[in-house]
Amino acid sequence: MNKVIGLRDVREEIRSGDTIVIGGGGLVRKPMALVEEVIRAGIRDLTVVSVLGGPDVDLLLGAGRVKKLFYAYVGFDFGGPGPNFRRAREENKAEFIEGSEFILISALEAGARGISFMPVRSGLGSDLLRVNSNLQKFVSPFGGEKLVAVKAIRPDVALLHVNSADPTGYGQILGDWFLDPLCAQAAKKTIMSAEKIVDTETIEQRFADTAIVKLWTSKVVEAPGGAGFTSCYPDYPADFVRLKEYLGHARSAETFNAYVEKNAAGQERRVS
Amino acid sequence: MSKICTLREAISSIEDGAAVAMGCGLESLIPFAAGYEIIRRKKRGLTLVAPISDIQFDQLIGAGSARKIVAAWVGNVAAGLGHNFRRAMEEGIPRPLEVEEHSNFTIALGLKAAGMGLPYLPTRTALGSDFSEAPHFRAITCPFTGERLLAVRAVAPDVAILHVQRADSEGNAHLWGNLGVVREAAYAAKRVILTCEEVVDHEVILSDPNRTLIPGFLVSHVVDAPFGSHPSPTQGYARRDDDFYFDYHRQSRSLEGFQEWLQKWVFGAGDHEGYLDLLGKERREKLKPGRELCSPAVNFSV
Repeated sequence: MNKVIGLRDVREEIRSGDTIVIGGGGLVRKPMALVEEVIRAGIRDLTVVSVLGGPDVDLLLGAGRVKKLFYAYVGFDFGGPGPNFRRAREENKAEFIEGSEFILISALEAGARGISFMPVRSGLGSDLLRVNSNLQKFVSPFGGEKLVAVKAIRPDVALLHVNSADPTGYGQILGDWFLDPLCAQAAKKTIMSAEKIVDTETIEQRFADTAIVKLWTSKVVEAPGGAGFTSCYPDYPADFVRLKEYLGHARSAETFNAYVEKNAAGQERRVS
Repeated sequence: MSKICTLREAISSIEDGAAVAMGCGLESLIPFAAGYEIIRRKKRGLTLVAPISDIQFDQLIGAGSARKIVAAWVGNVAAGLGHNFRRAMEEGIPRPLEVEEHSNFTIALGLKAAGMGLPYLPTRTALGSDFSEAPHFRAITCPFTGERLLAVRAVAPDVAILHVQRADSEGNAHLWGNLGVVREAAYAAKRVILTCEEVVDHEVILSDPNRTLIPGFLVSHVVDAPFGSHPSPTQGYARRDDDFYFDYHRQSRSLEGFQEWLQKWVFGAGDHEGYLDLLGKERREKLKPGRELCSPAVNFSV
């Protein structure tokens, strides 16, 4: 089955109001081409699940497309917290639900397994239980210990970027997989962009790098440079010139709007 | 710190009455050499833990080492029922056996729960079946949705005995192929005894970090035991010896036949080297993989 679609067709796969989860981590292998297409298509009111958020989530927040954010981190690693994230958080521009990385992973794991919650030890004795209604104390049926139940998250769509994919939906990642396989398993639909589309035989030759199984994949998009300005090892490192430019524009809402108009919402994506 | 020792030393470290996970690779990577040594060392009162252990549990049950079984299945995958298991359940021969019954999936969840340091994990499986009434399962209500789920109690063995392709002297292990719940067992157990096809330098382990699925800090003993999974397969090193399973099945049909089998292959062999001699060079050569099916090397450079 051929799942290849063009970048512009991605808009047919996501609806305003959907819950999306985004792969990659921080400044690494973020599906920026897909995220920009979401913005270009005018999709809004998204619920975004972000374990290791970077420019992907910051951009969606800055473009005003996020209604609700489950997050553990949104930032630029050494570049500091996400400026749009900070502004939105301080001005309550969306609903923010804070967790730890592990709590969000557990929520996705429950979603992936089709169960409604996961028990964890994490978060006990912290304020997270007060600020996050997706957490509840729950007594273990064995031994009576008090643990935390994390409510499952089953996103509508996962957006991922990988090094190579075949038309049937196998995806290979040569660097850190982060949580991409979990995101794909938890989501009802996975849209995967790839540096290049290869034939299935090429995938089979390096089966150990197959992070994403075709069962999880709905659509495949060829997008060389599709993670830029974040890195996509070993194809390219993060582009710090474009990163600095982004942070410069993101200093105020006004300058960032102009940046979004020009770069994200514009006609064509620059492919490196 | 080098953890390399003989099979006898490693197995001697197991206390009578311990809960031992072994054979967690389903039909492959079953640590038969270690099982035979458990019988030679006359360990008693063990709780044996694994989803499927092929004939390994049947052997340990017949030899009188086991008191309790925590498993989804005990038998002979190729040939049928496990005769020793059957004798123990039906007639208490050589001794009565307690069974904590699981499905393959619930035992995986039990091991995973223990590995995560949790008392249980919730699941949808087994609800509505009779075996969900057992004390290691509890019906629970989801605090968010009100749904009925099944809680599977953690399964925390005292020790896991795992056969792997290669390990360094500290117990950092590379394994590949069909893994079953080997990793879940390694994390669930208080400690791990490794038997391996090859002991390799630490540099070999470092050269392929993504394949290091068992970290050395979980491991207490490392035993160099090539062909240590025989008659079960270890991908890249040994194919499955089907005839061995069929012969075992025929011989263990009667109690006397099983005693003779035990006398020859376990006590008579004396140790793993003796067992390999008994198999003979020709048979071992035939069981080596007939061809190489290698994945291309990957470049870890940045």
